[in-house]
Amino acid sequence: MDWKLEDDRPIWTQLTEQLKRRIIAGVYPPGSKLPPVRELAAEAGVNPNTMQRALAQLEQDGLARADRTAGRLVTQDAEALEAVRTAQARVIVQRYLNEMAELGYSREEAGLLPQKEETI
Amino acid sequence: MSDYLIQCRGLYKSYGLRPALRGVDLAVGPGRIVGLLGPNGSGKTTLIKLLCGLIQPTTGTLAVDGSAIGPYTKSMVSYLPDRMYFASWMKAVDLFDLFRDFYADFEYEKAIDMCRSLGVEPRDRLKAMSKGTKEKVQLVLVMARSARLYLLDEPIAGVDPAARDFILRTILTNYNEEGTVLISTHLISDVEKVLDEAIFLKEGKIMLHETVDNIREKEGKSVDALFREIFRAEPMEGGGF
Amino acid sequence: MLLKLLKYDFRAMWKQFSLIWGAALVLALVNRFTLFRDIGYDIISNSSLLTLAFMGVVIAMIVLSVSFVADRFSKGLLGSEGYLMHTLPVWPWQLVASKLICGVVTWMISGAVAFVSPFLMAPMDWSILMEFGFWRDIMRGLTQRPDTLLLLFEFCLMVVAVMLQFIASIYLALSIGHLLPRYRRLGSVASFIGLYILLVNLYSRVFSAHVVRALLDVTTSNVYGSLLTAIATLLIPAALFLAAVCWILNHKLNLE
Repeated sequence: MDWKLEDDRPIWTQLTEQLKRRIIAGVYPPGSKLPPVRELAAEAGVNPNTMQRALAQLEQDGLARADRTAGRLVTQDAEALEAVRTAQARVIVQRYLNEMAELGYSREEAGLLPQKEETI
Repeated sequence: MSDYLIQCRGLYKSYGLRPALRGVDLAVGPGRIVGLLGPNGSGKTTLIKLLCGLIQPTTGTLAVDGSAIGPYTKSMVSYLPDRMYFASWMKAVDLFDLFRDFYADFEYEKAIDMCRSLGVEPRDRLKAMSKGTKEKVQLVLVMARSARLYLLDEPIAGVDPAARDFILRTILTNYNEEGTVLISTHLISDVEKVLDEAIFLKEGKIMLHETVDNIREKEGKSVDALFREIFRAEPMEGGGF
Repeated sequence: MLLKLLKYDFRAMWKQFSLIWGAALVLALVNRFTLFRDIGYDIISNSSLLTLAFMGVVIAMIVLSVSFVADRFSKGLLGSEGYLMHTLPVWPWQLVASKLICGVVTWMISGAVAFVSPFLMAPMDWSILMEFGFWRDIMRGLTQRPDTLLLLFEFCLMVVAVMLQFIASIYLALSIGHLLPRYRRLGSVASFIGLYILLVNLYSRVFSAHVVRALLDVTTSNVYGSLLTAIATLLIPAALFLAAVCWILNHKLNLE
């Protein structure tokens, strides 16, 4: 998974989002250790302070916790993970519906289309 | 010890009649990566040279870690100049020896390791090296120190985009985290992601000094876009595209 | 820190001079075995070419020694290598002292090489040096007149003082040239000439006929004292010049 950063928003919020996406996608599985800040920062090509801030936000959102010996661990709380997954899914669905509306599809038509796509 | 690593007050510097800095007030704290941004001739290099003591201010004061520029501040500043400073008879390892002699924070082994990872043979004569290789040696000298203040003058000008990424990554993975890094450049989009703060210099004055997050939050645009807006009137001179 | 600087300066010096010193000595030795054997047989022979070569090397050595001192200062401290030297955690006076000491030593070795090589060339019987009698005679001479050694020592000091004054003038001239926004080289040459005019004027004014007579009175009673006075008169302006150099490097350094 690549780190994609857009120009119009603070970098740290984008980093938090992408860290979340990686956790949900299983790049960093539940209970596993997150790479150190410096390593993550170098990988994303960003300032370590910015990455630190993104990770702090991740902790605040309950998706990671700092462990004194092991560093930073991904949460094992299935509920929290699921909540993030749903939230992300909702964003995607909303975007999909908005764009379909621009194309002139009604909500129902737009909702049916993915099923048709599967059967093709 | 001082709260601010860099402190300048009313800094004014002119070369002959031509002013290069016209009243700069600046305070930068420790542990930050700061971009010194401005078009060519805006005073970036002048400010950096003042901080490492290569030139003296016409008027005004400046301090690094609360001390006037002198051997003490020089011992904790790691400076990457905008030119080659080698004596041609030396080898890279000779320079490493020199740095180990003079700077307590220089890590010889790290320098050798960095050479290996950058594909530089440290026992080669500098005279026989290409310009790009010499630049790498200079980067190694600077980043193999765990300095309190890194002053990097145009580290990514004149190299191709791949090398740019590489240099920035080298800086990010090697700088001392308690230290502050001051990077001067006019290639903002390339460094924007690695910066905590941005300082805009225009005609020898500071136009803006703000955190990158704040700029993006307030302006809703990247530092690069804001820079282009502020300096639109001026023709940009690129360095080695 | 000064010792570390010296180590660096001496290494740079050795890289440049080891070859020419070696060449001078080797050519002198070669001449010794060719020159005097051929005498009277063939005047335009290899040997005279070799003598020429030897003289060329000595002249080159002198030119190189002078330009080395000027070069190490202007390139090393006022040129691009200054970016390295002036960011080292040392005081400017240490940089100057290191260059100065290295310069004086370079000149002394060059002088010694130029002095020794004619002896190497001469068809001298070296075995005499191995004989006890030779050294005994020298020692006897010295014990009979111990002041000769002192005089010799003072004379050496004076030679060093002359070198110091000359090098200090070079440094100051280069530093003054550095203050100019343009035509720095020209400014340096002009200020070097200016400094010497100043020195000569100063000496001629201070050492008026009256003072010289007074000094001569002292001289007749004590030759060591007069040599020491000479050394002092050489060193005082040298010290002032060096102080000015350090002040310029401290306050007016302008590496653009």
